Amino acid sequence: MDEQERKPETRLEMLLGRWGAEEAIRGAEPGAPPLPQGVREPRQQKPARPPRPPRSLRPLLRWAPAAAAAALLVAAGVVLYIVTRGQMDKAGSPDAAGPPPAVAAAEQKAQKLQTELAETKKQLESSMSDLKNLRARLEDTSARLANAVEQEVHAAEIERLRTDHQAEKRTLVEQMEGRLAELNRQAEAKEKQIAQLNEQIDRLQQDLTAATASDAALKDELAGAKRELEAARQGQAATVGELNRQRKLHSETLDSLAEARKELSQMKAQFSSILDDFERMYGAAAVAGRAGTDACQQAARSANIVARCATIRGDAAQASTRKLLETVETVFTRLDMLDPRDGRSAASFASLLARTDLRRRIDVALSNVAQDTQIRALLFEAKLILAGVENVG
Amino acid sequence: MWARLTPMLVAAAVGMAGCAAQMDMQTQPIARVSAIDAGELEELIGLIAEGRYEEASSQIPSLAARFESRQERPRAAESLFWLGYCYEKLDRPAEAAQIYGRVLKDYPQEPAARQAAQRLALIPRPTANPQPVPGGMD
Repeated sequence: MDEQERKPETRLEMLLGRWGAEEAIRGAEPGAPPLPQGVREPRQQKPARPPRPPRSLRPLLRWAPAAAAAALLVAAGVVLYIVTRGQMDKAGSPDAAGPPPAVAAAEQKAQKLQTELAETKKQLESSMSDLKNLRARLEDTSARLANAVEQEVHAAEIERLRTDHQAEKRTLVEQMEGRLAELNRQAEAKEKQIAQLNEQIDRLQQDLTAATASDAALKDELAGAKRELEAARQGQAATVGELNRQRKLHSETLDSLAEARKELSQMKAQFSSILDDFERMYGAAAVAGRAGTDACQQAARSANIVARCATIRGDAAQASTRKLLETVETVFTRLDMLDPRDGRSAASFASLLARTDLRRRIDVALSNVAQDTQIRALLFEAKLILAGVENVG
Repeated sequence: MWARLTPMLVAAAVGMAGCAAQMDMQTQPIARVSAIDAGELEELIGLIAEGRYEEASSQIPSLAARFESRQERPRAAESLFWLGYCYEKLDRPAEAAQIYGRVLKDYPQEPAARQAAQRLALIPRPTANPQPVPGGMD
């Protein structure tokens, strides 16, 4: 459908033209009857669309004048026949001296019939006039009816066009609404994309800002590093000198340390020798004439280790020392009850010493310089005796 | 003459060897049980040296009873002494004194008796008659 056909005015004109052509064809089909004289020809409004009466009355109206003329001719014939017959009857009768009564009656009758014929003619003329008037009114009514029909057709066409127009408009509106919704969706999608792009831009902006700040910080750091490097270079020279001095000092210290280690080794040897001599002297003093486990038992009994443990345990300040004294008491009680003649007793006692880790614990306690004097003496004597037991073992 | 005596000597030797083997089979389980109990006593003394008196005192009575049943007097005396020692360390002096007294009474010749006497001398005398010891065997 092109643009010209879309316009309602153009389409209306086309429809009206088409309707007028159809009506002209329809009106041209039946032949028009001859009009009586005196009847005015109907007014020609438009050659294309002459006004027409309704289809049901149209044949009657066309042939009514002819029928009326035929009826008048028939009536005139009947009158002439009757008159002629009466005259023939008069001429044939035997008493023709004067008009017979029958002829007179017939003349009267004929006169009466003529009078009636004249009246009938008048009535016919009146009827013809009425018919003319009726035809004029009918023409007028037909014209108005045609106008009304035309207007109605126009109105229906206009209504149909309006309906079409509204439907088209509705369709167009729906299409436009759909298009609008689509555009809205596209706009929303675009807005989302724009929002995402904005977020990306914000992030990139932040990254750029951070990178700029980081760049500035790195520049500052680089400048600081350069300064530190310069300072380090300067310090390095000083450090190298100091290092050389320290190396020399370290070498001297190593020499001194080796000297000190040598002296310490000699002192340890001397101390060990002294401790061995002391142990021998202690054992010899405590257990004169005894040997082995029996000698150690005798030494412990002479030193009264068990009883002293119970006595001085209360003087210990630390719980660990009190616990150590309890262990010493138990171990020396066990030593006292060993059978010197049983070879397995020495082994079981050595196992007990290993289990309690007693010698190491005594050494740890003796290293405590704040230890009570009596406790130190007891632990030292216990250490000497246990050393003798180990030597025996 | 040697020919006659040789089979008799062989038979006698075989018979003596069989008797010796039978005696060894009878005494071997007892010695094995004794060694196991001796090892258990060493283990209990180890517990005592570590200060686990309660644990040791709960196991000693049955061990001492087994030593007594086998007439192993030194170990029975030592087991009882260590029971009294545990009671003493657990601050139950009356029960400790009762056990020490029993060691002195039943095993006066054993080394444990000397230690029991020394420890008994250090325990203060109880004011009333002590209650029977739950772990005791009297």
